[in-house]
Amino acid sequence: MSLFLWLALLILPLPASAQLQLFLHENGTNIPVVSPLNLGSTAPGDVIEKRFRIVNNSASATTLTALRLSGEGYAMFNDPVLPRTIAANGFAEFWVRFQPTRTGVFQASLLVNSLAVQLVGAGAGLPVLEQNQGGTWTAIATNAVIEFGSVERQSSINASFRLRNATSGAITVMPPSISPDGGDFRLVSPFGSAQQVGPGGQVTFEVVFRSETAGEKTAILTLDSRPFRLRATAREFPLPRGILVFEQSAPKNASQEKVAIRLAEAARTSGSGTLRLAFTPDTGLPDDPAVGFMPSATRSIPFQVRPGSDMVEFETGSQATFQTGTVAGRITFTLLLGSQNEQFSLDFAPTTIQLDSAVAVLGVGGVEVRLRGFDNTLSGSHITFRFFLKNGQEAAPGLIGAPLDDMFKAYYAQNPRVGGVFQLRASFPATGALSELDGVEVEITNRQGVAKTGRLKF
Amino acid sequence: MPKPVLALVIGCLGAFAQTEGISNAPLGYLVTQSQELRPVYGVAASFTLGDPVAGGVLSASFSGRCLVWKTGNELFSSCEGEQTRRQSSPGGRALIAFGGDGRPKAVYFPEQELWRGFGEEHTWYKLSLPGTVLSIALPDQATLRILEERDGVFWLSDFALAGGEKRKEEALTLAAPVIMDRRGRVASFAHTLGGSPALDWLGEEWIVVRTPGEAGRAFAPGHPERVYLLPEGGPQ
Repeated sequence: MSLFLWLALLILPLPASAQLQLFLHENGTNIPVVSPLNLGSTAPGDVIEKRFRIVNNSASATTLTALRLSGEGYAMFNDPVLPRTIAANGFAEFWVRFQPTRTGVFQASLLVNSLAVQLVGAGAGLPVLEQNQGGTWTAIATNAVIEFGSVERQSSINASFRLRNATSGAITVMPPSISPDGGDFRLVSPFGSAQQVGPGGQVTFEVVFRSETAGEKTAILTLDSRPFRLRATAREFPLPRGILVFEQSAPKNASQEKVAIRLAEAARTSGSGTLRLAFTPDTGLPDDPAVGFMPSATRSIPFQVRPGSDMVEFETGSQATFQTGTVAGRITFTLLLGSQNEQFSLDFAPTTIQLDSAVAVLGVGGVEVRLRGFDNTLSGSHITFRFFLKNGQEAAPGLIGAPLDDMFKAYYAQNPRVGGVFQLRASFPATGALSELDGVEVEITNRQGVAKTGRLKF
Repeated sequence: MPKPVLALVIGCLGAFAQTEGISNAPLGYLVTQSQELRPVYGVAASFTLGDPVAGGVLSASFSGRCLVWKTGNELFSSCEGEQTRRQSSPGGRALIAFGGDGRPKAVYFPEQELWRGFGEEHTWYKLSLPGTVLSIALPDQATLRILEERDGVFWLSDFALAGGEKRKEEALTLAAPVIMDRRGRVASFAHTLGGSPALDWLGEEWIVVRTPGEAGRAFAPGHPERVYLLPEGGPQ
């Protein structure tokens, strides 16, 4: 057999059976197992854990029938229930924990089906790292993640550790170090030089975590070249609670109102939120596109929270302007800020018809009356006109009335986006001394009552 | 006692049927920042924009009866009940003067400093004024009045609509901002916004206040203390 072939055989993974091969599985990679397998050394009481993978590289399924580990200081866990069928190109896994009880060499036998692998580990003269968890000292395995938990940024969490001599002789305890130095994890009162510690003796130290910035933070604690991973999460400051502040406590339809958001306290961090509004018209009435924030004419606007400020900032400044529209109903504001989701409603009650402008004009051969306004009930039903002369007397023929029901219904049906807005023009052919006409009084009725213009002068 | 007889021939319902009756007539028209011409509907403090009626619009004027708008090199006019008319024109914006009947009577092109009667059949006149022309109007059937600002002072100049000769020029003592109505009457509006933003008419009943970089606002001449935001967008 050539030397090349011998070398090739030496690095091949051990076949556990005709089809099965054994690997160490570390960091997502399969590393072929050769016997004897050195698991390394650690302090008595400390732990080394290894993950093994049994791979079926064949084109047919095979069965794992034997999986045993024997030896002082060794234990197997997360192992499969036997017998276990491993599909073609499939695998099964198990873990081995090595925890020496003293200094010295520890050996164990691992059997995988017909494959025997010798495991070797050592208990070195090193101290055991233990963490105080609620009053109980718990040993921490090399490479383990030491979880500090979560804390608001710029606040701190402390963790207490001790290095215990679990051997029967005196050992030298080297000072711990944290990498990166000067980062978010720091040693508190570290002992600066090596110390001799007798059997059962200990040296304590603390690690404090404090971060200026939010996020998950990690560092490496090193003891006698043994790494331990430190992990903590710094939370962003919570955003204060927002309170909607309306400039008018009881706004009416057809108005532009202002709303601000005051924070329960000055913000300690920046952030953003959204203010939404929704319009729910009274039963039977349509939505009103005029209801919305201005000038964007939208129903949702963003805002920013600035550190140190107790008022939020809209694009338009510290106040947002919104239109209340011309339809009776309810505007519901929803404030979304951090975890806050709060609603506040403004109600707009049905009213008589509101007139924005009312004009009476004398023309050639007649008069014209123009009304512009809104009916927030969309129920306009009747109109009357009463003309007056300059001498104060009423002009003939006196009261002129007309029903409006059908006209308003048709108008609003054909114009679903106007809300309650309307313009009404009434022309009256007239003969005689038009110059004697002084004005006209108009009354327009909806289901809430009668709206009067007063005297409109020509 | 019998009422004095004024032979008002009334048929209210019939009158509605013969005229406009109930409608959603626009308050006026806005040229948006994206150069869309859009009608403005509603009442005070409850404005909405209608769908765009034209694009690429540089300026527009609305008398309540007629709408005139200017694109790159064309001038359009649309009066109620009539077909839209189009005429070629110089580039840039156009200022429009309406007659008492609401129809356009004269047009001024600020970039070219040219004016003429409204229609391609009219003669061009060169207007050489030292200041910035803000608006034009017709105080009577024969006169074109021009409101101009020269170094913070407002001036009125009258020209003969036929012939183009200057008839009058006077400096005003009004404080900024000054606006002129369709009859050539001028007034200063001490609205609540402060500063000297530009004023323009939005239809017949509302004045638009424009400050560069800010949303348009509107107030009615009778209530300059009540200034409302105008929408910049809206459902289309």
